[in-house]
Amino acid sequence: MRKGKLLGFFALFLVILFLFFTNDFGLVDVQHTAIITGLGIDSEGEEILLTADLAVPTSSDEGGDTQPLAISARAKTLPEALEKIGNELGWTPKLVYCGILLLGEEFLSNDVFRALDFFLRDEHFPDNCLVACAKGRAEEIFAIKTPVDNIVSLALSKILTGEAYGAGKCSYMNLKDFAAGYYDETKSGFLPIVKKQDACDSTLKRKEKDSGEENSVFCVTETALFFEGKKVAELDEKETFAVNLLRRRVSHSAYCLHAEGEEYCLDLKKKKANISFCVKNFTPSLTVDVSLDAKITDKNTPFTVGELSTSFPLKNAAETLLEKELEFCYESIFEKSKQSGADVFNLVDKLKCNASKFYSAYRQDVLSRTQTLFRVRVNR
Amino acid sequence: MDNKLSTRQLCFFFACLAPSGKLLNLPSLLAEKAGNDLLLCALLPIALQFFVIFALLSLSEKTNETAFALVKGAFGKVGVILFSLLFALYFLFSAITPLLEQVSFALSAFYDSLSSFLVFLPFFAFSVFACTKKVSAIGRSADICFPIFTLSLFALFALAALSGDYTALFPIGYNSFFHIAKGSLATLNYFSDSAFLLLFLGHFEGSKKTTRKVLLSYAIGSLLSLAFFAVFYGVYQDLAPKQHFALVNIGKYYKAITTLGRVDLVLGYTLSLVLLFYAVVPLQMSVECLSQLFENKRMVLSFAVNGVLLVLLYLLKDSCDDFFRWGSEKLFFLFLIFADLIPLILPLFRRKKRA
Repeated sequence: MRKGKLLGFFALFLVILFLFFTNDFGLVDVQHTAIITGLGIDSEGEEILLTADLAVPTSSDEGGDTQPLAISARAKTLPEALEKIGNELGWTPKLVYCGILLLGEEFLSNDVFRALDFFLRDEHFPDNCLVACAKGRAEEIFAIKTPVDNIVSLALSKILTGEAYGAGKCSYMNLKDFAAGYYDETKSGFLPIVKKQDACDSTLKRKEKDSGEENSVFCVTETALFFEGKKVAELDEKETFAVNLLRRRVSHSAYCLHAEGEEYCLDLKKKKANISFCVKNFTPSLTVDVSLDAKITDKNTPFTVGELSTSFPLKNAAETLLEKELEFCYESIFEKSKQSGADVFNLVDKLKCNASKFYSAYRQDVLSRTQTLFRVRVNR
Repeated sequence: MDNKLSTRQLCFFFACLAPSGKLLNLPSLLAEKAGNDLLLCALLPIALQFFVIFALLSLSEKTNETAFALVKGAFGKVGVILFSLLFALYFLFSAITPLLEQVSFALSAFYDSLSSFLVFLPFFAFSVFACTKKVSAIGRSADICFPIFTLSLFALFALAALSGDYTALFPIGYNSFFHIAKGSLATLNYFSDSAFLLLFLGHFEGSKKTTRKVLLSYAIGSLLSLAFFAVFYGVYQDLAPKQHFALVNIGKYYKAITTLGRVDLVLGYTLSLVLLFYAVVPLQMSVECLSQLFENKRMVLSFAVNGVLLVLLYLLKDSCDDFFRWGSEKLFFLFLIFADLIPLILPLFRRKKRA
């Protein structure tokens, strides 16, 4: 009986200990909480301008809907700016739900990790938070009214992980992977560029007319390359698509092509992409093999009966053109990589893994030493 | 069977309780010391420990005496007093690092704002209680921890394993042997479980079967630790040295986390319960040593040892990193002496007694 009682007390003690350490006694007053869903960072001379995109929970008595709000604070360091936001508004800013970090264009001219390092050290900041850079100021992006979502940061997260992501049209980067690239041997990284784009769709225009507010959407199909934390080059839309074919699964993607006087819209599916690197006769060589399945979705002239019966196969000319275009993209990406130092193909890592005896001799100039071969094969 | 450990409990101790202490800060420390060769860096002390544990288990096959009885037989009463006192101090010292880790883990991972050191005080209530119990209580702790540890660790592996890029671990042996060995010495304080087995001597039935089972359990525990280090490095790669508290960090990149929320933290919390049981073992051992000098005073000794540790933790709480570095880089020889050298020469004391 005594033993049972003791065991009971011990179990109760363990439960209390568990609750204690999991902060279940630290209740949070929802009326004094602002959930940060996105952060924008801009440079202002020596200082940093931090813009917090907030979702302010309201009780059902006050209307019940979550209100969007973007607040900025200027300070020398990020924690100071965050504290200012909290002090000025009387809310406790919670970083745990932050879904996107948007970096302003001016901020990218110096090492971005002078500020981003803070988020890596913060135990409550999610390292899988998306990171992107803005064309212009991040503060201005958060001030935009968009029909995608009434909270801009949520709209951006949707765009960066939605259809454009599946089609390989936009680059995807989270804080952990971006930081891993910065701290590894390559010291390189990439981020999607977020550009404001005027809404041209008639529905949006009609909405604008009704509400009297300007609606905008975002374009995320370009990529910024980074070396030692600084932005050093940009990849255009087609180069971004080409590089994403190497990085992830692309199950369907619309691709437009002009061949033999006709406009084609193709549906592309990545079959495989191999990157091999070796050092032969003291010369590093990189071979990129990409294999794609392609079908014509549409063209600007009617299909003949023969074309229809073969499920819109790709014509030879279009096939060759697509292969040439993508191969040219890879060459152009490699050239940009060579010029800027941003190691898009992770050659330094590959040198370390595959040819470590050459590592110390070649690590500094492996990009300029490497001979390249890009092969794109399109299967009908 | 009073104050005895069963073979099962001994196996659970080495397969579950001992590896739990290596899951918090050790992965990032190994990554800092040896980069992608962190597994080699851990393998060296594991191999040494395996050999020492084998030597102690072989000794247990030949004698049922405790380590204190063996020392008393060889060096008399003064010898056993010195032995008990030195080991009591060693265990007290070796308890500081895991507890400082726990304090900083609880305060920074479980709380949003800066918390008071006071939130860690309930641990000492548990510790005082545990220290009043004899060696057999550690066996019961191992029994309790086995299901919690196994389920939580495998669930954590399931969440984290697919988020890693394991090519980051290559090329194996990229760092020089000197570099790796230096890292092994600096992390020796995490690989000192043989010192516990030294005090378990005489409290379990030694046999060839027991030796085989315990060695297999130690090998399983070590493999689990190594797998955890590999997953951790695969997930964080060159960022690994900056990521403390691996336990609550490796599972958060699982794809469904964005929808489900931080379910991995539940596993972190349950594993931290196992960590509490492990963190209290050196204190129990310290009291066990002192109780050889002051018989029937376990309650007083328990309060004294925990009181001293509480004061030490309070003084060191703001200089954790400095203490870790000082303790691991400058005083690694203490762990080499107490956890490896003394257990290895203990069989010689037995021969001396016979002579």
